[in-house]
Amino acid sequence: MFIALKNATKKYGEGESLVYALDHTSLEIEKGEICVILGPSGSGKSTMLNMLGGLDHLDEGEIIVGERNLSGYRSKKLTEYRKEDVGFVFQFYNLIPDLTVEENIQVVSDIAENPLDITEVLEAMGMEKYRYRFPRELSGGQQQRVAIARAIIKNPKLLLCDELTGALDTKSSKTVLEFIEKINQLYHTTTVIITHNEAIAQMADRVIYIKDGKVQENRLNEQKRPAGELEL
Amino acid sequence: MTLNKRYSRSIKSNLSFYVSTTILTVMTLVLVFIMYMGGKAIWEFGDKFFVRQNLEDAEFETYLPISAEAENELEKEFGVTIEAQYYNNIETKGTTARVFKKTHEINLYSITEGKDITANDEVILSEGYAVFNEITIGDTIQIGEKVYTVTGFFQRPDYLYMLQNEGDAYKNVTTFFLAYVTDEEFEEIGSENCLYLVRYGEGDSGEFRKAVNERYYMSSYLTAQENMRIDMVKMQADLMVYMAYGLLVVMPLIVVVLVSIVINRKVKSEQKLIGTLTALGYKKRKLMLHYAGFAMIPGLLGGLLGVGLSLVFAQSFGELCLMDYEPMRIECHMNPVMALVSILLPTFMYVLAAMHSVNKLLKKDTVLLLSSNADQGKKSYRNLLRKKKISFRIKYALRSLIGNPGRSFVVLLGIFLGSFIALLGFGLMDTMENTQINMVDEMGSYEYQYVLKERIEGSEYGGEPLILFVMEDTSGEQFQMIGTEDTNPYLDLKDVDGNSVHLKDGYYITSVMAKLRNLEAGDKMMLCNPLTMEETEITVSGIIDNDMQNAVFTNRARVAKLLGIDESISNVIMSDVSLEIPEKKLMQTIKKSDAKEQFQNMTNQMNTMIYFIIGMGAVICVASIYVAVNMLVAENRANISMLKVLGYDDKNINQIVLRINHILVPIGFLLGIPAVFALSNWFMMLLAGFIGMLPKTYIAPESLLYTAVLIGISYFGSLFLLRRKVSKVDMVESLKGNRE
Ligand SMILES: Nc1ncnc2c1ncn2[C@@H]1O[C@H](COP(=O)(O)OP(=O)(O)O)[C@@H](O)[C@H]1O
Ligand SMILES: [Mg+2]
Repeated sequence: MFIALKNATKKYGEGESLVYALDHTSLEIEKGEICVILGPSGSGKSTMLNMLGGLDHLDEGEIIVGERNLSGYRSKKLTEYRKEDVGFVFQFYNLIPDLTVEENIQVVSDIAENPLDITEVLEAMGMEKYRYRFPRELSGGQQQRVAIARAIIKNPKLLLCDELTGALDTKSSKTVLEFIEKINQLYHTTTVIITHNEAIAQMADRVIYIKDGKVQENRLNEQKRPAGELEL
Repeated sequence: MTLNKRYSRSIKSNLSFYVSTTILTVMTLVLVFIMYMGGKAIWEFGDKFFVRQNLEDAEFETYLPISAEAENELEKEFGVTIEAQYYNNIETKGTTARVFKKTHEINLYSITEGKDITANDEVILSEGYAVFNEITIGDTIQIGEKVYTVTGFFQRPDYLYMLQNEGDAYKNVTTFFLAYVTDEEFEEIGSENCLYLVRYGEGDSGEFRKAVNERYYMSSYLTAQENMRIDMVKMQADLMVYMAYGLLVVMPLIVVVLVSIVINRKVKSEQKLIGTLTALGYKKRKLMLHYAGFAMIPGLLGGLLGVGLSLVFAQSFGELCLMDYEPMRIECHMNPVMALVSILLPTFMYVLAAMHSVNKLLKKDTVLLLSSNADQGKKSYRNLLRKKKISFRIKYALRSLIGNPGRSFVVLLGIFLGSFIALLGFGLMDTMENTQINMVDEMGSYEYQYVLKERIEGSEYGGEPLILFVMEDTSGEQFQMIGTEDTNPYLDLKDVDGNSVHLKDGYYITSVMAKLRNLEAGDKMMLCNPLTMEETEITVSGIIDNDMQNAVFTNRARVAKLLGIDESISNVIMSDVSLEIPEKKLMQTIKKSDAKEQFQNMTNQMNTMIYFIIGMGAVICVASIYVAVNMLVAENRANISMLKVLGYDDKNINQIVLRINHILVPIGFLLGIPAVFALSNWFMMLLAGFIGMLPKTYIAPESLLYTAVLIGISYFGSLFLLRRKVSKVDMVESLKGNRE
């Protein structure tokens, strides 16, 4: 078991507007799995991902990722965790606009212990020829591929994707998901994908349903299909 | 409009921006206003008071007395008003009372408290002395042998600055006062001194002076403009008004430019919202008005507070500046036009900046706005180092510095403004101090300068005798004419190139005189003897490097000829040691330390203003740098939190995103130095017009250091405060929004 969430609780607001984004919930994910977390909007998916990625602290409960118990981490240790173990991909790419494709990736490879080769990763993403472009000179799908390249360049133990196809058309979405799959196969990166698109769940090893901050269901996917065959 | 609900929220979340820009606007306005209002009030007071009390145009002494009938005749003949001023200096237990006989036409006194004298055992006193010595009405005071009851206090228009002697360095309200007694009582005391006061009205002053000299032999003539007791008031006011208009008025203007750019960029950073609202069908007008509303706040608030605080503080500030004078009842007013301009101009500029940038944004594609790409055209700076194999850190730094010229400019301007105003305060202080230290050397190596009542022949008392005489130019401005020889051991006269000059070759003017009158070697100049009114044209032979004395130097022979006296006659003795000269032959002894003191006295008048500028300067410095850094951090917020997400620690983030801007700090600071020199030189030139000395602008190394420290603290302190603000916003938050 690679990831374990125990009795995880995260509250926002107070008094009347108090919300339990995560409500005393637990879950486990195995190493090397592609795990898709499904749930309606506002159910706490992003919150869960952010906790897994060490972007924020839980109010209650524990998170264990590999050897690390994040619950006891202060922000300095969390920074180190993000730097060494985690790759992020977000819905809105979040590339640095003043840097080219190559430079955006260098931002991460610069501080990584054993980064992969940039050219190799770019080639794998089919982005080698856009190497010297700036983000705004690329389409959304292309930008997302750069974001993925940036996330995996450090060869992370854990790849976290939040609605990574949310802003993309069907075709680009499929391409992007194919890359995620490819990376999972190449590097055995444990991958957590958050989405509210049920179709994506078909490419997962594990599917988790979440509602009102609670895990409703956590099952292995018996009929796993390659990303290329998804009907999005 | 629902949109307007954003106002209170936006203000809350941008509170530090609104507070710091408002502070900047307020501070710079207050600085200008109270200086101006104070100066203006002193002018007004002087003008009114001088007219009401019939201030003299000049005063003079003659060797032969002018009888009452002769006075009348002179008045008729020249259309002037003359009045004899009889007075006595009476010393009592170390305190000198100058008891005047009442005049009826010129230099009338004004009772400021209590009642005028009616009985022979009553006296009224000059107010400054009474205040200082805590004398109250009804007290008794001994003058000479007699004891009088104090019935009131008064002011005289020619004694607003209480100099005991004409050439004194500093006011004396501790052991010197003016007094009036009844005419009858004055007769009893008997008069020892007589001075003639004159008001010219329509009369011809030149002809009058010539006639008086021919008939009664003038021994001294002093115009009101050259009379320190009178002119100091105007000088104080002029200083303040020029300081406000000349030096300080640039500050609010710089602030307006700075804040306008910041507002412009703030609007741009909301392009996504603007795009969304346009897509939703909001009209351009509505959007422009919406943003105009935001922009109005710092302008309107700053202007109103600026005017309000000025109204509150101007009076006390003005009075503070007048501490050295007789208590003048000034009344500070706000000029309504100025108030209106200072409220409306910043408001207008800020609103204009906001509307302009909304307008510009709306000319772009809505799609571009939605993706926040509106102001990112094909900018060539992006190609900078595009394919170069250099660390992305350097590329990022350079692109963000060059690619955001507006932002870099604001940071630069903020730091420039901060260092400029802080340095200005320090610089004025250093300049005055430095001048005071160096002036003595520039004037010569003598210690004593004895001004004799009677002219002497030869050098019976020792020292170096010379001829020193006050001359006028055709406009009545006075300066010294010094007749001495190259062998004078106390003067080492060099021209501006450092070569020794030879006085026998002609007339040499000092460098300050050359600058004030725009004269060069070879130019002609008219001299006028103030007693005989004889005019002589001279040619300037050269310029002596001396910015401390407004004077013409030549050899004794020429001065003697100008004055029509024998060449062997002298009236001043310079010496490096104290000389034994009988008291009654001495008009005045000027010690070098006196000259220093005189200057110190003038500096003291400026100090209140300078301390004030330094104090305000520190606040403005902090605020302007905070505004700049605030924008810097706000605009980099997305990148900062993204780097955090990617696992960068604060130190590294600082290096990548913010460090490049550090180079703007020394640049802004260094730019402040020549700016201070330029403004200070201009101001000193103005000052030279009043005091006949041209202090050389000087900034002490310590002042540079203090300013640098202040700037450093403001800059890095602001960075620290604001970066903490960024790290407080959790990364999660900033990931939600679309990025630029
Ligand atoms: N920073 C926050 N402040 C207040 N409430 C928040 C914040 N972040 C998330 N929430 C609330 O927590 C709940 C879960 O949000 P989120 O994890 O973003 O849901 P999802 O990603 O599933 O759409 C929602 O009700 C949301 O309103
Ligand atoms: Mg979400």
